[in-house]
Amino acid sequence: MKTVTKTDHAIIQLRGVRFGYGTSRMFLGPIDLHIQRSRMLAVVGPNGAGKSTLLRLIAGLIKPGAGDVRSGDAPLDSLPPRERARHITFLPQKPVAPAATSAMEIVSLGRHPHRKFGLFESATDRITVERSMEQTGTTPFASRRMDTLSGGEAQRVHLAAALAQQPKVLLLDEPTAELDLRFQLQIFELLRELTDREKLATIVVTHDLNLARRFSDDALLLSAGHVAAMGPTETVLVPETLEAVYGVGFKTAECENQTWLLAQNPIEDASSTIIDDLGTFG
Amino acid sequence: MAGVSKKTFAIAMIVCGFVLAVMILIGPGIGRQDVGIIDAWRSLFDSEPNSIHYSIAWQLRFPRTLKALLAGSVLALCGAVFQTLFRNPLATPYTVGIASGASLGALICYKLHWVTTILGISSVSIGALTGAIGVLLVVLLLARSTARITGNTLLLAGVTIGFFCSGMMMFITSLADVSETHKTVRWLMGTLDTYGHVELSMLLPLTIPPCLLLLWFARDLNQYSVGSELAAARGVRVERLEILAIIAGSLAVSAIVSMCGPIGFVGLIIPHLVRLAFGFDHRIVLPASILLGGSFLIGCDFLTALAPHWYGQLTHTATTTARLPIGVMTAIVGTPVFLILLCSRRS
Repeated sequence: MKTVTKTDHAIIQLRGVRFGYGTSRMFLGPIDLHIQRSRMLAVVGPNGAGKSTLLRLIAGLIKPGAGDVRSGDAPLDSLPPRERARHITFLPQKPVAPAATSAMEIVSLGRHPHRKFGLFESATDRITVERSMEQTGTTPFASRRMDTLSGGEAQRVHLAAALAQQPKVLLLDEPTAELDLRFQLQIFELLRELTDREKLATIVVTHDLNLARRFSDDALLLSAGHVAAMGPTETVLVPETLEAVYGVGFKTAECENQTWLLAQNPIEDASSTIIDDLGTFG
Repeated sequence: MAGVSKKTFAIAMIVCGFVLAVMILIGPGIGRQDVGIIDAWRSLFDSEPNSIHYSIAWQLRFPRTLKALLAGSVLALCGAVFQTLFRNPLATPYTVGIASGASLGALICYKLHWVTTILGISSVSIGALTGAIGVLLVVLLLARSTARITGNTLLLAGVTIGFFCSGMMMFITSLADVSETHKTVRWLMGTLDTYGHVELSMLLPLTIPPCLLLLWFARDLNQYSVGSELAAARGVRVERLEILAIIAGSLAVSAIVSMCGPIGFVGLIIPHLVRLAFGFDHRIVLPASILLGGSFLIGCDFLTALAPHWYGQLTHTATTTARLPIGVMTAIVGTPVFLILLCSRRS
């Protein structure tokens, strides 16, 4: 059985990674993680559990306070930034587009890590940009201005830009946060498809447990900066583990060969357990 | 667009380059004295070396045109870069207080009569640079305490320190006697007065290298404009970009301020105009700002000479007034242009 803990062929490895934001109490880790190609990992957990921080550590945007992040055999911080960016791409929670930029301009920006000395995009750049737009279904509005696109369309354009970077690792911070149901499904279907076809290692931070359960192979449940559970999605996203972390009662329901998680009422003594957690890890 | 940006680039460079070329060509033929464009160019190829036409066109007007070109292009380029760095359409070296610091530094040099050259660089430039760096240090130290180098805090800090510098300049001006005050006030309105090429040759080493560096940053600035985090994830060294670009911009602007006084508006309007016409891509915006900024200031300088003349013709009075200060003209031309731009942006 494939699991995230398998060490061979790991494209990204985290070993004993810890992180603290200066004077604030937030502390993340220790985290050990092995990320492989063609697998999709959902990072879930309550607000402030450290999901985005974990993503930034993997993206190399922040350095761990202890432990190391390795890309292949090399420590991540030994790579020049643009070489790192050719392996790993990161899509922040709210990407912005300057006024009056076209969708294709935004996608072309994804080619930055591959840029050569020339002032303009090469033929390879153009082909990659077109291909990324086809893969995300954004070709029809290539020349439309970003501020005329809907949230879902814009998000797919940003995803196309991430693909144009030709990464092996795709990191996404809540890519469906402000999208309606239809676009949420579209994005996750797209991520699944890209993960399989492009053999990407995809890590997606999300609050939607059912989308995570339905589309991703593995799940990592964070609670107040530490790993509460990690493994195949169907073993992690179960009522018993979720209840302890979220302080909310969960039930499952079977429908169309799919297990759905249903959140119930908050558990009465939940607040005390959360405070205990903060006490331990803060 | 990937394919189109090359075409847009070519169009932008040809259009802006053409405008600038025209400005430079007619430059020697426009001024207060009655020496037209044809006279000016003929005098250059005349056998007589020191004709009155030659002196006026090529020793008075041409250096002036070049100075306007240099000042306008540097100010517009730095304005474009600062707007991106601060993610604020109002950010220019003036609004963030750097130019005010430079003005104060230069003014102190004038006040102390410390006007000399050191290693080929004018002492006033050094004073201006010191002022600009002083403001920069205070602003950066303040920003340090809020973790990020750019953004609104820095902008507010800059504006506040700019006001302080203006206050100090008023203080210094108020101490001066009448003739000194007159000179100071004239300088504060901006001036392109020059004779020969000495000043220009002193400005070049302080302005050209920083501007080349800023041009080199064009692609990084494109990334920066979609967010610092995304830029960093794509391999841009964001902090290095921020610091180097701000220092380079300050250096170039303080050199200009030391020679021309604080000339406003160019750094604000030109980048907006260019963005409106050619889009957001800094590979086009930066060089186009250079070309159009230069053209704009040369054009305004023409008007400083022509406007009093036209006024005289209209009112049938003999015009005795000298040139208008360049700062007056950039404001008179700039304000309506900018307001029209603002309105057209809405729709």
